[in-house]
Amino acid sequence: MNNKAQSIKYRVTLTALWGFTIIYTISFLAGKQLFPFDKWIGALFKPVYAMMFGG
Amino acid sequence: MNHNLNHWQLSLIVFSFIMGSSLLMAPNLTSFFSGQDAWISMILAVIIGFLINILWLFLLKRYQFQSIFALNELTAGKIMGTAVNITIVFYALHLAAYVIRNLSNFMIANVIPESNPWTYQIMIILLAVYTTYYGFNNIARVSEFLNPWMFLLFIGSLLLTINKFEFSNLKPVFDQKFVYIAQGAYSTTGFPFIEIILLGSVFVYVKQKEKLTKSYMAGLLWGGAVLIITVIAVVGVQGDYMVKRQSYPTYELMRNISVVSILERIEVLITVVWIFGILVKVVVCLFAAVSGLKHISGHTSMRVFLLPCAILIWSMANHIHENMMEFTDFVGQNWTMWWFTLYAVIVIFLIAGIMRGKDKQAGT
Repeated sequence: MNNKAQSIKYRVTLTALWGFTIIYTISFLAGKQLFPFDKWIGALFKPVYAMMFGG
Repeated sequence: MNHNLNHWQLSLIVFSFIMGSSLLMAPNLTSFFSGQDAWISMILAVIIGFLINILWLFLLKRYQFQSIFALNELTAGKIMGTAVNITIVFYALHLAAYVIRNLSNFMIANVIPESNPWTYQIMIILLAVYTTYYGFNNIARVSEFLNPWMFLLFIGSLLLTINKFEFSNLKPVFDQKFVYIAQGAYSTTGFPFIEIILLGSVFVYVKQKEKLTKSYMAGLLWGGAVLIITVIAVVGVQGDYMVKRQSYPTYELMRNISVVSILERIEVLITVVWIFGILVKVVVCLFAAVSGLKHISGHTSMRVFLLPCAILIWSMANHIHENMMEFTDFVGQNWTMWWFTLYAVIVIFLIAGIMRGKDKQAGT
């Protein structure tokens, strides 16, 4: 891979990481739940858990 | 940055990773479902964890223990491999956030209730960033120095509770239905025996790879044995009725220690052991996340990713759950399944890669 392509990948990754970090941190400081990961994960696995152990 | 590890250091890192968080929480998570049979659940969890990790190591050995990020791209292709790598980075940051939240929950609930949780969170994140900045070898050497002391403190504390141990608290054996024993084992299998797959990102730095499997499994079994002994001691001393009502029963167990009037309030010793385990766990997570980002970006250094990852871990630690009950409930129900999904996806890709002869290309 040439240096230019590598540099673009690096810039995209770093910008995306900082972007997500800033949005997430602002949402936390503002008390807004923009990314309720635990609820999404819970919704995904709750039926499986209920099937295995009956809730 | 020096990331090199010898096989002894790897064993100690695995041991500390298993002890971190689980040492204080495992008795409650198992006993909540299986009562006085919690120790059977813990043995079951260790056996399942052992089998899961044996398969994991067998597959990685076929690929000459290359980094999991490189292997995902090799076996799943560029696009799908990058997607899996981004997922692993998220899993690592998410786990670090949970571990840090667990630490601050514990400090606020048990040790210094008047303090601010951010104090503990920021301090341990800074320490983890500092350690990762200088390379993984840093935490390995700290581990080498501190682990014997930690082990001594743990065994010493446990021995001091022997005078309060009652076998009647463990009887009748197999009183619970198997489904409850399995439910107790389920909650402690993912936490910590599946999440340890993140160490797949450091195998590439281990010297003498022929001894890697043995060292890793030795650390895992030692850690598992310590957890089994802890569950037996906690339930044996306090009884399952009390254990299932406490968030951190191992800490409460140590509060019972009273040997003449000079040996009182020594429960904080177990906190030292636990916090060191937590530091190792956070460093492993942070290292896995920044290694993944380094691989995805194709950059030469991982240091540039440390600051955003640290800020994200801190904000996530505070934002994921509103209170401790929600946190414990989530971990008990979803954690094993959540981590098993990642494990299964990577294992399927690795097996598919072996069937297509990709393992021959690894490391070339």
